[in-house]
Amino acid sequence: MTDVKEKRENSIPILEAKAVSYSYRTKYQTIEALREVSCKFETCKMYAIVGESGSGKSTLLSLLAGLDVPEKGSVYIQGEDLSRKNRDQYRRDMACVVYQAFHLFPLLTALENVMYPMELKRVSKKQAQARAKEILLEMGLGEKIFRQFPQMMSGGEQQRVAIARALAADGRILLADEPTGNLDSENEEKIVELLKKSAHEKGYAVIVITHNPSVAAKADMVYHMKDGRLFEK
Amino acid sequence: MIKNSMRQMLRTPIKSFLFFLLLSAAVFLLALGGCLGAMTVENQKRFDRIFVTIGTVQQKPQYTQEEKIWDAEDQDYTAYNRPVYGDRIDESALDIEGVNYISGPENRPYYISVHDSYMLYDRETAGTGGGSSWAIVEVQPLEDCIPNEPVKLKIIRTLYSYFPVNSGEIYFCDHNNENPEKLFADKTYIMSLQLNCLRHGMFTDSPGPYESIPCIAPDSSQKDENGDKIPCDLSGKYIEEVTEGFYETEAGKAWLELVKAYKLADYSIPVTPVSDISLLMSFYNKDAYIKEGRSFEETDYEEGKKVCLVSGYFAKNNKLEAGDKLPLSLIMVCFGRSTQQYLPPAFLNAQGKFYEAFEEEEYEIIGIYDLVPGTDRYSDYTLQNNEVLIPYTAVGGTIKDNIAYYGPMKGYNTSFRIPNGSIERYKELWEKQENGELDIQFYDRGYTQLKKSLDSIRKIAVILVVSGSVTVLLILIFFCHLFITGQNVRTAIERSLGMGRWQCMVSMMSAVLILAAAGGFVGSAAGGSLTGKVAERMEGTPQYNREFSDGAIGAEEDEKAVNAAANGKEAENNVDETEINTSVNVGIPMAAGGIVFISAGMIAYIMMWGNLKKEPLELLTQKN
Repeated sequence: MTDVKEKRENSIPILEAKAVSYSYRTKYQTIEALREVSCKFETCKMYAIVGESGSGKSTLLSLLAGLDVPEKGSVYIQGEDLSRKNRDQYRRDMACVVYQAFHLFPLLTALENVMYPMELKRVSKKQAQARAKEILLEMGLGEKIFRQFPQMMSGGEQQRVAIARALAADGRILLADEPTGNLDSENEEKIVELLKKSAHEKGYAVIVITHNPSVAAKADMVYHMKDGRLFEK
Repeated sequence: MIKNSMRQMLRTPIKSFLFFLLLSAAVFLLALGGCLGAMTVENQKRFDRIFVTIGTVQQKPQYTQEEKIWDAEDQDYTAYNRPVYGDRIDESALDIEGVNYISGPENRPYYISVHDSYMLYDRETAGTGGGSSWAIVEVQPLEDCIPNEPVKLKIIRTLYSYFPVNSGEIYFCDHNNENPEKLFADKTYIMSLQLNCLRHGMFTDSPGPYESIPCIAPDSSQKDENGDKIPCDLSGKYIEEVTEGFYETEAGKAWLELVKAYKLADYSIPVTPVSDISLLMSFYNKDAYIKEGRSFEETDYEEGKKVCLVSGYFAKNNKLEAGDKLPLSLIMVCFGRSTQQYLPPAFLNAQGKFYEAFEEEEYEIIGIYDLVPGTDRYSDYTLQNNEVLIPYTAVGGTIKDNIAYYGPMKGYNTSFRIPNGSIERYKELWEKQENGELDIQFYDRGYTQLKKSLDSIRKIAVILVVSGSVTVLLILIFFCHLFITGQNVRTAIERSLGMGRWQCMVSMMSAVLILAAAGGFVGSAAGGSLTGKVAERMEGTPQYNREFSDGAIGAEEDEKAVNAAANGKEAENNVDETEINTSVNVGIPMAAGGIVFISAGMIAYIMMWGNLKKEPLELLTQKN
């Protein structure tokens, strides 16, 4: 496991987007989702990217997560161009994503969902199980939830399991796309706290996409997106 | 990865079980159809190897004619109807366009071979005669008489007798002659007799003495190549007076030639040329089998090799075995008769001479045949005790001067072989010939019935294979869609967690393939194991019709007959060989299961690749 101290000390930009552009075609038109977006992200900080729907927030997050490649510009990870790296490995070892819709494996229990990324890294089942339980408990989820399937949990519980799964990958970047979008205010508060904790205590670079001003207010730094362009607030 | 994949699959038990169940059922149909299809192909090949289809040809008589034979005892004629045939019909009449003969058609003659080394019967067990026998004798009546009833004659000289003549005096009756010539006591007569073969009043309380009757006269039945009788000057008389210098006359010389012929006939055997031994009913019906050595091979026929098959009876009496040489001196050719009828009605040629050999060759005995116990040994279709078989093409000499008899085509001497299952086609083509003079009888040992059974099973097999294949495909496509294409979010999550494309493919496909393999195995095992029962149900264990025959022919079948004969049993019917074999080659259901598994892999791969080539972002944003 990467030491938190080490993460703090290496507070150089872990992730950087340079003049990234991206467009996609719909049935009727081509939409320029990102227009030469540049930004930097450091570990131990929580960033918020806010903007209206369709402003390009989620697209930027996907490019930062290595889920797609920019048409122009580059994403750098610790100074290295991501397009020259193995993106599968990047996602497995460095960047983990939390979605608004949680995207848990519906047929796996909470415990199995959290163990999944560790199994991909060939961590032994015993170790993975112990670590998954530990993370789930840290997320404030009781043992009762371990054997529950996603559809048996509340939205807040599902999102916490999703964050637990992201943290179980033991990466350095946590990207969250509207993590509180489907939650009530009480759960929203808890999730934001968990994300902050992940940044400040666990040393992650946490990037949260949100249109919720109260969530953005808790971030260490806020970017604003409009019409595919990014502005620092 | 695979464990997680299986875990997720099994947590949708109804869907998974339905997939397994439907796939098993579809593979069952496919495997069953495949097994039935393979079974029919296998059986078809086996039947084509075992079964032989032949046709025998018989010339129809143009009309029947009443003939009368005088009976000296009844002093009246006995009438009987004799069939009268028209002109000789050549076997070329059977050359029909579109017919593919395997052998023949051949109008087989038989040759008569004479050699003084032949031992035709075991003289020790056959006794010394005393019963009915042939003889050529000089006799003197004890008194002047007309032999329209038994008269006493004294044997002066025996020129020939099959068995030794015991008595110096015999009773004689010219039994079938209404107006026999008067015999005088002071004269000597030569006559050919069948000795002691009749008794007047045989069925009365006081039967008369055994009497001898006239037999073969010095006459000729020689025919030319067209089957027409060659005119001759021979008297054809059964009784002739022996006067001084009689044997210097033409008539006397003819009698001496007849004596010579009689003597040589005691050392004669029938030799039948054949182009395929299955054309001989004894072999076709498996009344005969090769008990030692081998049968003819294709090259024997093609090259006309000097090889022969001899009967076990002849081989035993002559201490012959396979590999020995047998001299054949062919003197006569007989068409239209069976070897059971054997010697022609007259022994001399049109010049009043005994026939000279048209070919003298040594033949190698390649095999010895025997007849199974219980065979009707007197049927015209049965091989004669001393009959020798040679390849049809083995005789090179010209037969035109040695045709001792010419008769119409008969079932036992004219036959052909056609491909199995072509009887109906042959009949159609034959009807177009509009030939009303020949009657053709077909024998296939029930092959046609079996073929019909196989064809109906084959049709069902095709239906099962097609429906099974289509169903398998539809099931695979539908469930692969559910388990793979419809799981694009899962694919996206797995990819976003850092799974490589191939890892993701294994994760998504493994459970589907494991279930497909299980379904394929269960379905194919069930299909394979139930094939036999299904086939039996469909046709009620079809078995060939034994109306015409009771066996099959070929090396392996002959071997069985040999074993049966060696065990003292009547030739066991080859029930197993001629039934539809419902056993299944396990390779077929295994192949069906394998094909289904591979198809599942391919379909899953194609569907999976559709998801994998997209970036996770695209998968997450697309609608299912």
